[in-house]
Amino acid sequence: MDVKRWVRHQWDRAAAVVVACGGLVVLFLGLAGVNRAHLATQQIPYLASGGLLGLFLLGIAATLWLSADLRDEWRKLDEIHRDLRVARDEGVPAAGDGRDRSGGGRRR
Amino acid sequence: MSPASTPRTLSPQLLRERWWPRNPIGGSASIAPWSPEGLARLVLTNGAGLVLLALGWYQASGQVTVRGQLTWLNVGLAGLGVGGVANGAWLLRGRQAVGMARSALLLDRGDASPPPQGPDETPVTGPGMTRFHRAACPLAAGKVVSPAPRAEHVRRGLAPCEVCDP
Repeated sequence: MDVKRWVRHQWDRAAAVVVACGGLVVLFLGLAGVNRAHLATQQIPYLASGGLLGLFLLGIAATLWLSADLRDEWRKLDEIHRDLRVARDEGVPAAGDGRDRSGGGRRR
Repeated sequence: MSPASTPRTLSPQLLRERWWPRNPIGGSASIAPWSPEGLARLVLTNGAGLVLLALGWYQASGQVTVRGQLTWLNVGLAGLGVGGVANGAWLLRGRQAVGMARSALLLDRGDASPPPQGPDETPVTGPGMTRFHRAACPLAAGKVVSPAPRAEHVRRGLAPCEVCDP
C-alpha cells in the first residue's frame, strides 16, 4: 500500500492514528509517573496531566476517525445524487426505480 | 437548529428547502456534512477544554494538600467534559445531516419516478417499525406492512414518517 498516497487522501484518519498514538504515549507516561511517585500529592499532578490529557487526545482521535466515516458517507450520497440528477436530465430512468423489494436496511 | 424552529413533522418540501441550499449536494462545495461555523465552534470549544486541562494541571502541581489538588483536578475533569460534549455534538450534527441528506435523496429518487397514486392512501406499518408510511413510501418498500387508519397508528404510539408525510 502506498502510505504517502493514503495519508494524502485519508488525512483525517492518519491524523486520528497519530493523535491516538500520542494519547496512548501520554497515558503511559502519566502511569509511569504515578508509579514512581509515593505520595498522593506527587501522584495527582501526573493524573491531571498524563491521565486527563491522554483521554482528551483519545477523544479527539475518535472524533477525527468517526468524522471521516461520516464524510465518506456524505460523499457517497453526493455521488448518487449527482448520478440521479444526470439520469433525470437525460430522461434515463435511474437504476433501482423498479423498487427493490428484497428488504433489508434499518427499520424505521 | 432550535427546537422552536423545527416542526414536529418534516414535509418533503421542507426537507428540500432546508437542506439543498445549505448543503448543496451535487456541487463540489459539499465536501462535508458540517458548516465552517460548526468547525470553528468545535475548535474553540476543544481549545477551551484544553486550557481548562492545562490550568487544572498547573494549579494542581502547585498545591501542597490533596484537598487543594483535587479541586484543580476537578477543573481538569471539567475541561475533559467540555471537549467530550463538543466532540459528541459535532458527531451528532454530522450524523443528523447525513441522515437528512439520505432522506432527501430518497425524495429526489421519488421525483425521478413518481409512485403511482392509487385510490387507497391508507397508511401502512409493519412489525417492529416505529413509524407509519404511505404505501408508496420508499422507506416501507420491501417490508411486510399492513394498512390501518391513521388514527389507529397514532393510538398505537407510532409517529408519521418524515419522508412521505402520510
